[in-house]
Amino acid sequence: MAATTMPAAARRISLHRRHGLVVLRGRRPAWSISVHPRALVVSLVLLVATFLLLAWALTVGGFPLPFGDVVSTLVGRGSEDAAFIVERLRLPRGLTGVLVGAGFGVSGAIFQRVAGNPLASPDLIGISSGAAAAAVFTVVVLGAEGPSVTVGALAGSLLTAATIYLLAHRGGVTGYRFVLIGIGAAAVLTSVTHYLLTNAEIWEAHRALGWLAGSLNGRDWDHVRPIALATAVLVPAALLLSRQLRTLELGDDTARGLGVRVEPARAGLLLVAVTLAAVGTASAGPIGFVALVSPQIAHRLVGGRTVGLLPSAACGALLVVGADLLGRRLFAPTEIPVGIVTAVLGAPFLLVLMARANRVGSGG
Amino acid sequence: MTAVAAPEQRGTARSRRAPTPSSRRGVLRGGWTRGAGLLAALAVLVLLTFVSVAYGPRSIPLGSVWDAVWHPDPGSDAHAIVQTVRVPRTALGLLVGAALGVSGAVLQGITRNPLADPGVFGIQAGASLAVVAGISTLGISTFTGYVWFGFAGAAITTGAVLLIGSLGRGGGTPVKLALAGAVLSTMLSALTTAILVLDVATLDQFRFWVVGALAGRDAEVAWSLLPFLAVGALLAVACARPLNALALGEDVATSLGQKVGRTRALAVLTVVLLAGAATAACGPIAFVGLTIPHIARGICGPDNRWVLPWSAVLGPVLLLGADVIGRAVARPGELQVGIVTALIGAPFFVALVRSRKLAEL
Amino acid sequence: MSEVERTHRLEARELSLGYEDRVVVDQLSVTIPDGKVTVIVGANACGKSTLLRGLARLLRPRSGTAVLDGTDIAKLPTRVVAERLGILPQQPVAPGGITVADLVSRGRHPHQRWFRQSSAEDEAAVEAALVASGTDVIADRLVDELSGGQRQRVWIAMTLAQGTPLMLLDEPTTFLDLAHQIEVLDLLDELNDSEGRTIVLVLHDLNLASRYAHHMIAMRDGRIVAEGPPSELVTPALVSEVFDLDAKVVPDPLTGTPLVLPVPARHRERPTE
Repeated sequence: MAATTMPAAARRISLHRRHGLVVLRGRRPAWSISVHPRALVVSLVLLVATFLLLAWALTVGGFPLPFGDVVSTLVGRGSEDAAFIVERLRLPRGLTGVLVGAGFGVSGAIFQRVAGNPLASPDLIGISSGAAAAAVFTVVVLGAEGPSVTVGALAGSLLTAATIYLLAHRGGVTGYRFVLIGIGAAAVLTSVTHYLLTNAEIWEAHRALGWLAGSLNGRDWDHVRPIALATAVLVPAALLLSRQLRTLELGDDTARGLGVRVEPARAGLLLVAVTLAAVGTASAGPIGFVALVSPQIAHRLVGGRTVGLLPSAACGALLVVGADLLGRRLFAPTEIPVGIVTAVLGAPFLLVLMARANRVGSGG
Repeated sequence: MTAVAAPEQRGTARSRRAPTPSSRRGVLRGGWTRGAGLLAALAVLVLLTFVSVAYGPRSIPLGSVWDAVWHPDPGSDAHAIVQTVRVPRTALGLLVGAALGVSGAVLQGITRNPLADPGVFGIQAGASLAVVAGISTLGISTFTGYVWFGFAGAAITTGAVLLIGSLGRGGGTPVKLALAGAVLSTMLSALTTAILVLDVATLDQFRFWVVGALAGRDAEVAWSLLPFLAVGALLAVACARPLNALALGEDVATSLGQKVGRTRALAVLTVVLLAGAATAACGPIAFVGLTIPHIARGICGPDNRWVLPWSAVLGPVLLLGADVIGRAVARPGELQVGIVTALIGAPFFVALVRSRKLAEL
Repeated sequence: MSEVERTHRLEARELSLGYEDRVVVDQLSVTIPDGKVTVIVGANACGKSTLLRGLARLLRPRSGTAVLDGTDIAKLPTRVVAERLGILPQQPVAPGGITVADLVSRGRHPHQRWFRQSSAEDEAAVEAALVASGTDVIADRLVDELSGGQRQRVWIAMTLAQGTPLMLLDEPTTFLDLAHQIEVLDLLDELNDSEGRTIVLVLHDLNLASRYAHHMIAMRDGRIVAEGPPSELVTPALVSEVFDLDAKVVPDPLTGTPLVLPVPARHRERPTE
């Protein structure tokens, strides 16, 4: 917002309000950004809430730490015990949660807008099933643990997504076909997963099930780094593509008429969405409803307009961190996996949303 | 207007109250050809039944198998195997195959959605949760016990899915119903996982039910299925003609005098009885309910009065065929029928979604 | 020849279009006169919408070319085309929950970039479009809540905001009541008159087409049967050939353009045995 002493017309950033939007404009070169103020405010509020929850999560647990201790540990002046708990256990866990949640939020928002249906979601269309089948495969057949399972899951979900895309491609991919084939793929992959579980030793099956439930337990910096990288690349990519998304929503013909290259744009958006979901699932297991629910909650908080990517991201982050905290503390010392908390709480909420959406007529 | 109407047209003239959608004729047309075809399919089924009883990890000569079925010798090992393992398994395959095929056809008819499959609509997730709850809380451990619990779970879930998916504008569109089913399935599946994570013993039992198999069930399971399937079959027969009318759209059907609400209730009940019981007995078996009605329609056209019987015959053909393949491929073990049908059914499903005929969805 | 070229920006050369294995438009050549209102008419399934979509590069031709400003439209970058030619497809669907102003502003897409999301020109174009289409009073309402006529005007506003010298509209008046149909057509007429935009329409109503068109193209079975000014074109012979309809054609008492009066079945001459 620099107002200089140059001639008025030359270098000035101006602010305008038009039809509920705030537009910032500058010259030389001419640039402009339009912002939906309420979306921005909602995103900021949700992000602040997320970090407050994260801060709280650093203090609670089997070894409760007063907040002052946490702060001094982060600054580098805490006790060794506290450092271990905060820096090796709780902080990476919390950060993984934030990043996974944000990624799922964006991914879900993109899926819903591309499919034109508020109920589309990466986990419903076979990507989590692909990750699950691959993960169970690595645990049961390859006998692997930890990072190998993560890699396996990632490979599984990306392979599934690529296969679904190719199968849905018939001179182009409609969001509709993609979703339907995804549902079929999910059914097949689930059968495969069940089959693998029958052929395993019971303790292997139990370990595989632990991953399948979706959990942040034991997530350390090895988990945070890849997902931080992925998020740092993919979320800005999604924001850059959001303009194309806005126009794609108007239908293929109209979008083409407005100069959008429909197939590449849609492919790019789906690629970003799928990769975000794949990385998230690989890091934390299939965390049920985050990708489905966060865009819908964000939509209702922001009001009007189509589902924004930033509010969905912020909402997703808040949900995952909150669910993890709840799962850790509710029946302490037993931990309920975060995937189960999100599904058990998220589903009734979502079904209510669906019932109301269907009544209003925007359900599909 | 020809002087001599084709047999098909005569048939339609007679059934004034339920006109047959004439857009897509099957390969076989006319009452006589379709009837003959059905008998041929039935013959194939009988053959397959015999193969199913005769084939197994332990080679038993055919003559001995025949004796075992009709004149069992209590002392013979081979006869015991045939009587206690293969016959029940085959019988179950026949019953479950027919149940899944017919329920799929009815579901596709009532939702006017060619991609309806009882599994895709949450029946399996509902049955699973109920079975797990039964094992975990009440220590249910027999397959017969699973039947009752599984059925209850399936019934409640189906109701919920149809209710939620049909609300609002447009009624039960394919995507809305499929997604409603998927949402509910995910939730129930999470609850199921929660119980299993906490209770390893339950997991150990459950995983063998959930894979979908004909193995391990004794004759008692088949007997306990019969009441559900018998009532379901009767209801399905009653549904056939109303479903034809419904295919033209609810408004048209109402103007033809059909009571749409009653038909819908009847159809849902049929689906729940047939698919719910079948899933409860053998675990979730994917794609049978989805693909069989399509094949049936391809052969005999969209008239439900033919599609239902054809589905009842083709369903067991698929299921027993898959079962035999599963046994053949993994001797001396077996590949459970649930996974074989998934591997066969998935390419078919994909081809269906890609096909031109779905352009209007 | 060159004089003709100077007055045409959009044309089809031996254009063949179809879906799957069906050929709908068969080696059709046509030039769209600049600065005029052209209306394409014909019976159902004669290929009029297909032709429009082919001209607007929404459909890839099986053979032949659609030509814009002398270049094959398929070879022009799609955004460049979008700056010169706007198309409003049949029955467009808006995503739920957006306002009128939001939808209209999306018409500015071809002029925007990720760092230039809403320039002063964009804003001006949107405002002008809202005013011209009479939707400025409902600018902040949700598109879902509007009537069919209002929604159609909003879509036209969006195409207007795109600011293209050529506008193609596929059946913009179907499903509208008569008053709204007239409203939409008057708006397009005004745009053509005051701003000189070239407008190409597909219309069902032959009489309205006769009133508003400078140039009419009559199609049947994927081919052009006749083209020209309505006063020359619309004759009982043409109506019979294009629509299989028996009709009398009289001058419209209000506008002088041809008025088609279908002959009622009862008044038709009985064929003598």
